[in-house]
Amino acid sequence: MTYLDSLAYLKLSRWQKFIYKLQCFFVAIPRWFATKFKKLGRAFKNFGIKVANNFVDIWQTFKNGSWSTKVSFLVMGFGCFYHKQWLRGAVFLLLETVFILYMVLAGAYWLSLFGTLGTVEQGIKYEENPFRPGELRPVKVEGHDSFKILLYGLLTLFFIIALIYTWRLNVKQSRICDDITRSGKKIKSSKDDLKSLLDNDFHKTLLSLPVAGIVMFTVLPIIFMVLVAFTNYDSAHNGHSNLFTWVGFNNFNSVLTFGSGMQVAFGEILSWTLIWAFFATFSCYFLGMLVAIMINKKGIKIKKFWRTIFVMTIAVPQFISLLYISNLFATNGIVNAGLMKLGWISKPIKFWGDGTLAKIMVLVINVWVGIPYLMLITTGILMNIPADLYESARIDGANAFQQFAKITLPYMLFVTGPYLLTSFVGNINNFNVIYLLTRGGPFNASWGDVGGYVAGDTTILITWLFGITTNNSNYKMASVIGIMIFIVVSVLSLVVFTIMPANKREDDFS
Amino acid sequence: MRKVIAALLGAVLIGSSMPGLVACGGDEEGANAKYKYSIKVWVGENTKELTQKLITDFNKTNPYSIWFNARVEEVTESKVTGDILKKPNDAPEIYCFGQDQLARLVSNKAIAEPYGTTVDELKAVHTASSIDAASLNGKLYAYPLTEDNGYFLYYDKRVMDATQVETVEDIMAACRAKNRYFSFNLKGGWYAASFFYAAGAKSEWDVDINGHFQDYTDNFETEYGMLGAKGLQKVIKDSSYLDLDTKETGKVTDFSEGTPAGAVVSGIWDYKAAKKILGDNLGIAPLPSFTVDGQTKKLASFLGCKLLGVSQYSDVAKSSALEFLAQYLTSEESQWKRFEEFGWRPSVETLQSEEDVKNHPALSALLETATVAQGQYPTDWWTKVQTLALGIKEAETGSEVGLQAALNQYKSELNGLKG
Amino acid sequence: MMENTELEFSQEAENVVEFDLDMDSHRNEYENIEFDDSDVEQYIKLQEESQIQHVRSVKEQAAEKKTHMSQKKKNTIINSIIHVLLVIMAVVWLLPFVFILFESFRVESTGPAGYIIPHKWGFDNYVRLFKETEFARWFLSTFLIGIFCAVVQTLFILAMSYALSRNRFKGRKFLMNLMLVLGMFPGFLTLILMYTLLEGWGLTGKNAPYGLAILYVASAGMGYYVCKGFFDTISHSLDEAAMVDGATKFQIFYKIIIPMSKPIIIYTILMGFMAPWGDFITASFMSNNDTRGFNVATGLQWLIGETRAGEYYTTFCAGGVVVALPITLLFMFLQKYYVAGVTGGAVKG
Repeated sequence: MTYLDSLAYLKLSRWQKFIYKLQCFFVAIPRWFATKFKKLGRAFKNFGIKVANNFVDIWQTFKNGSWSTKVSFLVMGFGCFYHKQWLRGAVFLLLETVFILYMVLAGAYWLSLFGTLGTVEQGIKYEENPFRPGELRPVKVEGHDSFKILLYGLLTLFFIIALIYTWRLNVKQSRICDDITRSGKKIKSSKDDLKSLLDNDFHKTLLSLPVAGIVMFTVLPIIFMVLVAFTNYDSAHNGHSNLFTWVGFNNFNSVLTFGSGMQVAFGEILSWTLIWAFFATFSCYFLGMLVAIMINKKGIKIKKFWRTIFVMTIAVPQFISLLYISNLFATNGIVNAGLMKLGWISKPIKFWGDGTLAKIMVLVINVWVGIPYLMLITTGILMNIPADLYESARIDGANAFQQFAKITLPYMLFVTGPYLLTSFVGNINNFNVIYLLTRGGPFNASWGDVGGYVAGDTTILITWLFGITTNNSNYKMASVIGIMIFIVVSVLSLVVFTIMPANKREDDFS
Repeated sequence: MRKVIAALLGAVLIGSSMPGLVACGGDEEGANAKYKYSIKVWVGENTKELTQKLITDFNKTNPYSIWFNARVEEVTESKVTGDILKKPNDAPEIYCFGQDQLARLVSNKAIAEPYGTTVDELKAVHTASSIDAASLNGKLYAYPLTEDNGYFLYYDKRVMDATQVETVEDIMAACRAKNRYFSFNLKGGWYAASFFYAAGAKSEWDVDINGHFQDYTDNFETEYGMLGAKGLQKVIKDSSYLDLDTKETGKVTDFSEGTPAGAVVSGIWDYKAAKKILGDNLGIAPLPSFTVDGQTKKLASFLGCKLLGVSQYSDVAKSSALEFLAQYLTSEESQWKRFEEFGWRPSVETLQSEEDVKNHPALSALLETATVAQGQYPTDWWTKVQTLALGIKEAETGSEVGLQAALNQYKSELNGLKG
Repeated sequence: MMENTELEFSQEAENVVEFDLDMDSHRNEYENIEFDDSDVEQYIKLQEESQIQHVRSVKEQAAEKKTHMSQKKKNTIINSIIHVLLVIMAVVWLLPFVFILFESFRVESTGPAGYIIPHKWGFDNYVRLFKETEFARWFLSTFLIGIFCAVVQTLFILAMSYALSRNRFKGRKFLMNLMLVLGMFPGFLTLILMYTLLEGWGLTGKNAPYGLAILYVASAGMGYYVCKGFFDTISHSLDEAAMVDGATKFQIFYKIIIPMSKPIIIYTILMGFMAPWGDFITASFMSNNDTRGFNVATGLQWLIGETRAGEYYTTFCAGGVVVALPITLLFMFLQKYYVAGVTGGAVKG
């Protein structure tokens, strides 16, 4: 399509403008993907070049370096020691020693079993019973533990990568020292290094602990679970007494095979998950905004009181409030009993029994949960909208609705764009509301019992995952589904996030 | 701000030592016992105190100089196996479980068999049926704890009288008349199977010595299964049937909900609670019968055992000591205490013929129910029956085509459970 | 652009407004793909729109002046309607909590009951909660975990936010994107692994509270968005001035940034303290059925387990009240900071 300049655009009729905008929007999407892929390709290329450059650099360092640099290829930190950078040298040397010790004592063992995930099964041997002399009785002989092999093997790989990186740093450092000495300048002392940790390198100090925590407790576990998707780790192979092993893409095949129960269930549950996330996000968003506007309206009394009431509901843990509400609306619960006593209904309403009704109920109760948050957020933002905008609108005679539609809403949408996205992602993984209210039910037989767990009408991917892991320890399938959730969510949010305006504002302040 | 942070830090430092303080005390020293072990024991709900007391007794009375420093926890029996297999390195030394889990425990090498003279001693004391329940292919793996794992009918005497609890139809009519519910967990495989077994259908599984399922005989898709399916559908689709859809039914607390139940199908474990809620209005009866296509069939209950299992260890002394403890916990003396306190029916032959046991209202109702000795089933079989029950509920009322489709679907998936 | 639409749709003024909104938002979306939009442009656009509205609604304005008096009346009516609505909503929002409170005072029975208002009132359930169950222990450990998280998590987040907001270093963008992406992986899948890790250090079972504290805090750095957003708004000229005076980055952080960020720090502390109270899944997995390792959520859930509900249901309600009370009070006192935090969070994502 051709893009119009603003003059040509103004000449279009209203309808044509609309079509034009629509075209622009849809053309932009593939273009966005195209640029992303191009970028990705470029990134790969750059990466390759970088790696190659690194090797060249290492070679040249070795060729041209002083003898101390050459030694530091083997004994890490030697270059630093030579140039009297005691601290750096000590750190490098220490890391190398620790690494070698670790590899000798444990790492090599785990790594050697990583390819098979263990070969020795738990067995039995006979020993004499101390309480009944002469009687031989069976006792356990420990075998390999696939789970630990996978875990510690992975950890060892992490360490190796870390060591290679440190080694590279060490080589670079030696070379820098060489260069500086050659140019006759003074080399940074250990004291300077320490000082800089609180000044120019302060971010390194700050980041070290939090990032280490993230690597250990988020990155490592996620990579581990991704690897599990390529094994047969399930209730029959728990890794400890019955070894599990690599199975390649088998698990993915059984999910993706067309017409398999897994594939049907996955499709159904995925679509409800997206519908749920969409409605849950926007219903709370608009209703929360409405409540905030109501409370903030001129002439409304005891504003603080209303706000406090809503805020109080945030403070009560959900496992109490939602569990209680779930029981209130049960077929034999108090709500039905009360309504029947009043004579409003003759038969109990099955709030959780009918698929559609249950879906509506979780959405409604989610509004109950979500409005207080949105009310607070909106209140904060509403106060930031320049008052003169409303002033002039009022002078123009715009009614309340027009003010909302022309000022409040666009402003809100603009400012809270990123929030909407995070909230959407949050709702895709909103375990609490669904699980505590319905556990995913009403359960039905139409999708069969996939992975040893019967799914229901309100089951979203995350509760499905939970059922599969807790009911049946089917970790291999859970990992496959987890990876798929991850792909869906990340692609969705990447697209939205890049298209959204507020994303680019970070550097405006700096 | 700084003061606040300092105060918080102080609180943390003081606080972090607190749980340690709370933890000590109460641990008696096994004065100069030769074999001392700290162990974990998992038992069913509400039985912690008694078990703890029994272990103390064992410590005092055993002739081998064994002393257990035991930590007893109450767990949900149906979750025990899952937890043990998920966290194998943290498994309890001794645990209580339903007999249907035995094959799974054996196949995962999570249970140590009693050995040598102990086997003979156990076989001499416990009933043949309970020994059978604790064995796979004739090899004894566990210690029988009770022989009462079945279900019968609890009802509210204000809703129906003793003449009305003989058929499902009467029970449901009485409930409808008083606007009450009939609570029966037909979406759980263990209860739903009741209808099929009553109608003469069968599902039996062969398991090898390693706990792997080899083959099955199953005729749920025949006319017997159809009869059972029709009966199940009759109940599950009735307006008085309590269908919570998202949660399990068949708990005596249903007697005290907003709209209370008139009758609940549950087991002996609910007896105390039922008594507490209904008091003198509590009625107990064997399972009723149902009539479909002019045939009247009496509902059957599984009758299984609760078992004690011992984890495997490489320390031979510890393994043997645990064997003695497990034997003691399931001995005649211990089972009698358990009967007196909770009404659990002993698996010890001599105790079963005691007058008190025979005349216990709940136990007699259980025994009057036509019972089916429970065999071994693959874990996923229960889910298959649950799915079958859901399929029967979704099928059109009285439509044999729909019911047959659900039965065939069930049957077609059984092969996947082998191994 | 508005003028010709006026001609076409002049009779349906309301419609136009709605339609416009729709179109403009579309326009924003694709325009942002093509050009780099910014705050200022958007603001100008808003201004323009109000101007346009100004031109268009002169007619209406004249009409409304006539009805100025009735407008006032209308306002009062609307306000009273809103008041009524708010009262209804307040009731709906509070009802479940009032119900729980009532049930916790029920003395005549301990199981679920078909009514709300107790026949006999008393504190029996609260007494039982502390005497018959290990609730005091669960409460204490959850409280301590909360305090620990409040302190350490806040330190982690402050460190992370400052590093990412004030420094431009190699790998910064990568780090931020990585954390964004990691947050999308369904977390509890990794529970079994966390368990094995912590088990190796003896931090499961009865020591689960320690393990939980570590788990909660370990990945705390990923929640830096709100705080970093706040730091971004603090002017860099302050840093520069301090730097000229010879202050190190540490001193800038400690003496300038921290004192200026009081609301956001209190918000972070509040969030850190609250999160552990509601966690059930992780806590129950880590405790491995050992009641000594429970937190309040696991403990209360345990109280209404399979056969215990008849015995402990009202005690469960009492426990719920005891848990909710301190948090609610805390919340009411620190409401202001919470609002500052969530607003900042929403704006920055």
